[in-house]
Amino acid sequence: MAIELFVNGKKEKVTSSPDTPLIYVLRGELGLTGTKFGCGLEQCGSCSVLADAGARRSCVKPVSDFEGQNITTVEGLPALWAKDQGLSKADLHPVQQAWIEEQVPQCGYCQNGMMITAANLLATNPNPSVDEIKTAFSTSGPSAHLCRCGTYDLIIKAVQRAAELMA
Amino acid sequence: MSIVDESGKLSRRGLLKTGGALVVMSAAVPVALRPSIAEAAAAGMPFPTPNLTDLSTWLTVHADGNVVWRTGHVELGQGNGTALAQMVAEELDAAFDKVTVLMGDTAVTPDQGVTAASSTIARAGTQARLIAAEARATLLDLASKRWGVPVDQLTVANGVVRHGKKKVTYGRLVHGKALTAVTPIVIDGSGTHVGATPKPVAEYKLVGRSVPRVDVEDKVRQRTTFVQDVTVPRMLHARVIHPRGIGSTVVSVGELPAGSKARVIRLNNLVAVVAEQEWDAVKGAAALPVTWSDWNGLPGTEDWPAALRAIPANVSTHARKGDFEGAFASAAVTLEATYQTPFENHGMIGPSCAVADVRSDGSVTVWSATQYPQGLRKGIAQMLNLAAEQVEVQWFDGSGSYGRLCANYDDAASEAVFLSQELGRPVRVQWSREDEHIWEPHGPGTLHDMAVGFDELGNVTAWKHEAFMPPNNDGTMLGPILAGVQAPSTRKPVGNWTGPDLYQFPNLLELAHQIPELGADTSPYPFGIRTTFLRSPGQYQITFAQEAFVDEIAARTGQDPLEFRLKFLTDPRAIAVLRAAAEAAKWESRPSPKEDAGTGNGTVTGQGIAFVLRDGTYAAGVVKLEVTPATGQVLLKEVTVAQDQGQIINPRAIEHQVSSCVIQTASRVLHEEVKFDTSNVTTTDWKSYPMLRMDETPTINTILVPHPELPPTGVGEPAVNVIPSAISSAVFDATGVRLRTMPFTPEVVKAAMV
Repeated sequence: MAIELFVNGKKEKVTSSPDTPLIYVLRGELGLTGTKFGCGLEQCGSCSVLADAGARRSCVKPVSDFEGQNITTVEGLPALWAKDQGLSKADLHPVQQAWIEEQVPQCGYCQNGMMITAANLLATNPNPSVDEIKTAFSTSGPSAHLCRCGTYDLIIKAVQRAAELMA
Repeated sequence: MSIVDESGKLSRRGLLKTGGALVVMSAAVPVALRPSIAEAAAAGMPFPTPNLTDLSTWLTVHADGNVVWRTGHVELGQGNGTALAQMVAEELDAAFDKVTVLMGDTAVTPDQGVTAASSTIARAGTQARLIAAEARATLLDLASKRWGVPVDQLTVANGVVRHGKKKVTYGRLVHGKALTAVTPIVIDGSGTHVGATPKPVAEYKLVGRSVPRVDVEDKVRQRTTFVQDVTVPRMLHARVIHPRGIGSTVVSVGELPAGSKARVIRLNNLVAVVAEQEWDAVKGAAALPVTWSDWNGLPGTEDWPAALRAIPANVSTHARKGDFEGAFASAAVTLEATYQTPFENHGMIGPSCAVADVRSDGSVTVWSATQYPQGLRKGIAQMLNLAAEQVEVQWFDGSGSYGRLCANYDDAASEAVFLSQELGRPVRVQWSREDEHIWEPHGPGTLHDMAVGFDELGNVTAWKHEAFMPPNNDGTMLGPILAGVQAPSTRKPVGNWTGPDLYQFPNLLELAHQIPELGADTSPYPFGIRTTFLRSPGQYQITFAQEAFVDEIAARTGQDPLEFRLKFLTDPRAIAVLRAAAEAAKWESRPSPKEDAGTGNGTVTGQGIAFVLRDGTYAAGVVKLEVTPATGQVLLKEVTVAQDQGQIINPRAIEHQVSSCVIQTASRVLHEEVKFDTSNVTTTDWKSYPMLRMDETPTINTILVPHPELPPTGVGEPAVNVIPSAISSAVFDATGVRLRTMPFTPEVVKAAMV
């Protein structure tokens, strides 16, 4: 029995078993590998996606929980921005632009989740303070967003830069 | 130098496809081999085993002007690929965006050893600079012959050679030809030697500039394929069920639940669940009952320090100067203290993952994020009893590994090859978070007995540092050991001292107890609790004890910790970074602890300073923090690092390395400790082994001390070493309490404040 999702603006009927955590559907069935497996425990944030109610972890909750929802993965951020702005197409989401300008990634593994949470924060708070940024990445989800390479300071700068780009 | 047109010997197809190429070769390459090497390199195909003295190993200049530089090193997230491209483009006078660095594919890249210890730029970069200079000379020679003018009348910029109004691109020079240029190259104990002379520093246009990293945009645009993203046709997904105890063996393996779409593979003690769909393998692994033998060979977290002292171990003398015992006995004042560092995780955010395809014809391909593709290739060949040439390792980006995939490691790859061999299909092994937290080869816990004698002015007359060091160099891979096949090496590693002596103390004694792995003596496997290289291995622990203890002397004699250090340092570069850090941080020149230091209510603040020489790089750090004695919370407010790494290749990339060192190390110092019971590790996830969060991130200021005339040295590790003792000393400055046992968690700090 297929489950219907709207992933990055496209209707998808997925055939993975309904108990499959969303991440395995995105990566395995839909080939969207930007979403990364970090823990399978909702403890690190590297699997974050945008769902109807905002940023969500995809490594535990089954795909059936997301039935009928709009899911945006990191690959869908440019299209999401284009849609927000009424453009036909966007090369990059401003968050991605800021991530490049500030040269945020080191290994880059966790950064998809970081960009998803940045986009989520800026959608509701267009001009966040440093403390609000820290809160968004530290205490607002099921866990803090973890980066082993220590890019937190650059992420703070990039979120501020993205806010400027979006203003 | 001589240049030969090999076009006639090349296949038409190869030449048409590539449009020609300049392949720079050494005289050592047999004439008969040159055409095939030229064609392969021009077409980007595998060519005969790369030899370091064959210049064709290193670069190809294509007819379209693109330059491919090949290196056995890999990008671990530190930006070494970008810095190498800068150095090569600079020396070739090629445009930066025309230079591509190809990394870590054993079919085409040379063996330059492991990517570790901040060495890529210092060693491979310096070598690349010389070889690129030789290639530039070769290209200019071609232009000189084309126009019949002497080389010294030519100029070149961005890959365009000019003479008067005439100009020709590098690409045009080699267009339609397959040229091999034979040039002299010698690699000996003193380094790499070529005929050409590299550019004077004053002419640098690219080196020293903050060029954006070549990998960053790809990572943001999701164009980077991580090893976790690799899929190959007919690939199966596997989860390995690792032993319950570190030394446990399989007693029995039960059955998967009815309806499971997975199957069980057991090769001795290597137990795995495999399936077409990853989730079926995950579910199967969780449901499969496996009974393991009891094994309780570990001392447990509370008891490991005592166990470390009790293990019979060789004691190696790292340094001995004068007569410590005599000087200590007659010193006016003496201090003794023991410092302790915990077992730690590398903590890769993406757990281990690799894909292996062992084919029936005996050839093997492994997709891995290893830090040493050539080493892994040899290891895999050995465990499968194959020739190295039958194994290809393709390196892909991985999650920051910080030594975890060092040496010849890749546990997941070593498991995948046996599963693939058994199943006759490519197999992807993905570890769980629990697998990674328990089974990664950890950073070792260490002990440091310190003793110092000095006069009332703080002039040190005797210094002893006696370190108890478990291994930093475990090179075992789990696959062959669990499968019961001969391991690549059964040598049981021991620990050792890492790091130079910083201060000019007379009557000095430095000893390392070379401890084997805990539990190794009773395990059926050739390891105990595996410990290996973790960012700045050994020196991180040594410097913590050394630098904090130096602060203890300064405090005891009422001296400013900065001035005290300057008194005992003679190296001007050391003195310069300390002064630079102190000035930028607005260091308060006074003894520690501060006058109003205390452990009462509210929050108190403090400053701490430390210095290190690591990987040839000088670093000094100043930490400013606040402590809340009632809760034990330590919050870093501002960290300043001054660093002298000789020549600066890419300032911004270095600054980002420094902040990475600061944040990652703050996490290690304030939060991280691998705990274990007598059987195995008990910190199995990010809840039981927490990491620093963004809301604990300090403001970080970096000062790079320029020395363009000196060779570049490492930047990935040095700043790590100044953080632990600077935090300990800043807490002491704020509270008057000296923390000597890491990590400084709220519980530990709170208890110490009573």
